[in-house]
Amino acid sequence: MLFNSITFAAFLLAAFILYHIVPVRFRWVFLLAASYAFYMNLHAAYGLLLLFTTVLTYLMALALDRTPDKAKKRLCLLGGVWPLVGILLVFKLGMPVIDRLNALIDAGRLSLQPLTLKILLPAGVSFYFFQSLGYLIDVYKGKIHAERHFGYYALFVSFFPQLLAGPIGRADALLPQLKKERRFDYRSVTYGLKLMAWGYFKKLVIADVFAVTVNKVYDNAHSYVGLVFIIVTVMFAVEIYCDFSGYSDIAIGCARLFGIELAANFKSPYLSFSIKEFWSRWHISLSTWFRDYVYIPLGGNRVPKWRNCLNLLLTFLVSGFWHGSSLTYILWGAIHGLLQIAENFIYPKKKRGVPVIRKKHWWQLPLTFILLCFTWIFFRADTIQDAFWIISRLFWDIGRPVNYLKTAVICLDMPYVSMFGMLLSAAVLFLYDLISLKQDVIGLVSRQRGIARWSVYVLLLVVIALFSYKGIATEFIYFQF
Amino acid sequence: MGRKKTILVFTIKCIAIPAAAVLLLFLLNIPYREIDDEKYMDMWNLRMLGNQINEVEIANVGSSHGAYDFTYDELTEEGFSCFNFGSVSQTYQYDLALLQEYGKHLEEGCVLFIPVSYFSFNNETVNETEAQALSVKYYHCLSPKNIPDYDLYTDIVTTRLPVLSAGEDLLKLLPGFSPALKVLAAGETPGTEGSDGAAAESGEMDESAIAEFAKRAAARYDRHFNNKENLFLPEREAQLLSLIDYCKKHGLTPVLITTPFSSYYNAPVSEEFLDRFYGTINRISSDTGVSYYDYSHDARFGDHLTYFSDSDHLNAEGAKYFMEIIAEEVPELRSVIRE
Repeated sequence: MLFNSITFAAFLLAAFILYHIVPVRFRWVFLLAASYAFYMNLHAAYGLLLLFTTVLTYLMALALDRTPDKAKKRLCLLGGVWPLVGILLVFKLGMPVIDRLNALIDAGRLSLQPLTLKILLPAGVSFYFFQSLGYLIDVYKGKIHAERHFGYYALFVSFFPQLLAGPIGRADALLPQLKKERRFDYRSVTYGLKLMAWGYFKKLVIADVFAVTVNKVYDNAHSYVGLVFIIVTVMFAVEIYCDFSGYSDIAIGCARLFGIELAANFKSPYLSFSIKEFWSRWHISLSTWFRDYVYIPLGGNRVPKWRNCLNLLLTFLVSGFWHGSSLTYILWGAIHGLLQIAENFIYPKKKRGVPVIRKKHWWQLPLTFILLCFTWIFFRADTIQDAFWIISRLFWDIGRPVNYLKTAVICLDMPYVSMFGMLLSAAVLFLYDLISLKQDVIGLVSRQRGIARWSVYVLLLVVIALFSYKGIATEFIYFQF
Repeated sequence: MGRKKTILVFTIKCIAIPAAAVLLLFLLNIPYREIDDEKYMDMWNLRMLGNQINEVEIANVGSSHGAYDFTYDELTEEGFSCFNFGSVSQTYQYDLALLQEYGKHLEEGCVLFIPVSYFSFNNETVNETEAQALSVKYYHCLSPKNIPDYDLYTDIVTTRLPVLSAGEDLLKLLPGFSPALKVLAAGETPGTEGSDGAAAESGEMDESAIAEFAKRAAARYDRHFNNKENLFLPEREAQLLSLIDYCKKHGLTPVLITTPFSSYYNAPVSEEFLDRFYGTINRISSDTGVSYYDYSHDARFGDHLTYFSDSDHLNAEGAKYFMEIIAEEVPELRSVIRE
C-alpha cells in the first residue's frame, strides 16, 4: 500500500475514523492491528518477518535488562543484533548475486529453467530493523529500560506511518507516546493534514514530474553528453529531496492524526554551508542513528585525528552500503566521508586547543550544493561505468557554448511551459525551505486570515489532485532501501 | 470550545475544503474536455463504425505497423467497406478487446489482417510504465467489460474527469499556449512513432538523409530488441491464439502478415532471433490453419527507402504500393476483391 495510492487514502480515512471511535484504552490495539494490516497488504509473508523482529528484540531486551553480568549482556546483544544484521546482509548482498544467477538462467547459460530464483527485499525492512537495533543497543547501554508490555513494543516496531521508510524512531521518544491515552487533538490533527498535503505536493507535483526527465537521461546515459547531465543531476537532487522529504512529511503528518509526534527528518538540507551541516539536515533519523550506533562506538572524535578520519570514512561507507551493495552507493558513501574529512582539515573545530568559531561565507552554499550534486551522480547512475561516463562528459563541447546549450535543450525535449512549471515548483520549494529556517511555514499559513488561508488549502488540494494521476504507479525512491 | 463542537467544526472543514477543490476541478474539466478529445483522435474513427462504416469486408488490427502500413483509400473508392483497427503499440490483447467491442460491424467472411512484428511476442513499448500510459486510450473507446485489467479509478480520471489525468496538457488551457512553444518539432525527436522521419516522401535521398535514416533505424532496433528479458512471452502467443480463435468463431478470415521493413531495420536482427521468430509464427500458422505472409525482407521495399517514413513504417506512397501488392498476392484478399 503506497502512500500515494487510493487504497492508502481509503485505509487512512477508515483508520482515522475508527481510531477515534474505539475506546481510548484500546486504541493502541487498534493501531497495532492497522499497522500489521497495512504491512501485510504488501505481502502477507512480510508480517512474519515483522513479528520475528519484534519477538526477537523484545525477548533479548528483557534478558539484557535482567542480567547484571556484562558477558551475558554482550551475548544477549549479539543474539539480537546478529540475526537481524545477517538477514539484512542476505537481502543486501544476496540480491545482486541472485540477479546475476537469474540473468545467467535467462540467457540460457544455466540449465535451471523453468526455475527462477527470486529474493525480494521486504519493504521497509532496513528501517524497522534499525529502529529495533537502536532500541536493543539503548537497553544494552542502560539508556532505557526494556519495554515489558509486548503490545506497546510491537506497536513501536510496526507503527504504520513510519514502517516503510522511517523516520527511524527512538524508543525513549516514541514508546511513552504510544503508551499515553490519546484523545482527539484538533491542532495536532489539522497540523498533520497540512503537513501531509505539503508532502504530497513535493512528491506528486515536484519529484514525480522531475523524475520523468531524470529517468529518461540516466536510464540511457550513453545516449547523452554535455550540459544535459548537469541539468538532470540538479533535477535529481531536487527529485530525491522532494521524494524522500515528501514521504517523511506524509509519515509525520499521518502520525499526527493519531496524536503521535515523530521527529523531523529533513531541515532545508540544500541550504547547508558544508557537507557536515548537510548531514545534520538530511535524513536526520538515519544520520543520527549512524552517529550514535556506528560512529561514536568506533571512537567518534575522541581519538587521534587519523582514527577520527577512519571512523568518519567507515561510518559513511556503512551508510553507502546500507543503501545497496552496488559500487555506486559505496562510492557515494566514501565520497561523503572523504569530503567531511577534508572539511575537518580545512575548517578545524579547534586550533591549538581553542575552539574556532566558523564564519559562514555565502559562496559555501553553492559550493556545497555543487559537491552534493556531484555525489548524487554516483547515487543515481545505474552502474559505476555510467557514473564515470557521465562525469567524463559533463563539459563535452563546452568550448562551443551555443552548441553546448543547444544540445542540452534538444536532449531535454521539453516545452518551455513545462520548464517554467518546473522552475516555479522548485521556487516554491526553495521559498518554503528558506522561510522554514526561521519559522514554521505551516504555522505561518495557519495564522493568516480565513480567506487567504482557505485559498491556499483549496489551491494546494487542486494542484495535488491535478498531478495525482500519471497513468503509472510511482514508488518512493527510499522504499528500495 | 467543547470536544463535540471541535469535532463538528473539524468535520465541516474537512468536507468544505475538499468540496471547494472538487468544484474547482469540475469547472476546469469543462474546457479541458475539448483538449482531451484531441489527444485521442486516433480512436475517433472507431466512432464511425455502425454509423458511416457498416458490414466491413476488409480490416486489420495491430500496432503502428498495422495503423500506418494498411491504407484503404483506393479500396474504399472502389466500394469496399474497410476499417483499420491498428494503433500505436497495440498488443494482441487489445486487438481482441477491440474486436469484442466492434466485431459486430464486421461482415461474415471479412478478411482481417493480423500484423506479426518482431516485437509481437513481447511488447512494442519499452517498459511497463509506457504500456500502462498507452492503455489509457482504450478507456475512451471500449466498454469496461472489454478493457483488460479494468480499473474504476483510471476510468474516472481518464474519461469522467479527464482534467485529473491532464498532466502538462493542462497548460493548453492557458490562453497563450500554442504548439510553437514546443522546443523541438516532432520530427526531431529520435525514434518517434510514426514520425515523418528522414526519408523524403518522394525522390532520391541524399547521403545525410540516409545517415539519419540509419541512425533512426538503430534506435528503433534498440527499442524493440534491447533491455527486454524475453522476446517470446508465452502469454503473447496465447493472446494471438485467442484472437485467431475469436475470428474463426465469428466467421472472419484471419490472415497473419509481417509488413515490409527497410534493410536498415533488418540488418542487426540476428539469425538466431529470426529462426525462433519464424519457427513460432509458422507453428501457429500450421496449428491454426491460418495463412502467414512475410514481407519483412521483400526486395521491392528493403532498400527502397523512399517508401518508408522510418526504418519499419511505410509512408503513404509505400503503404499504397504495399496494398497493391497484397491485393494481388494474398489469395484471401484477392478473392474478396474479385467477388
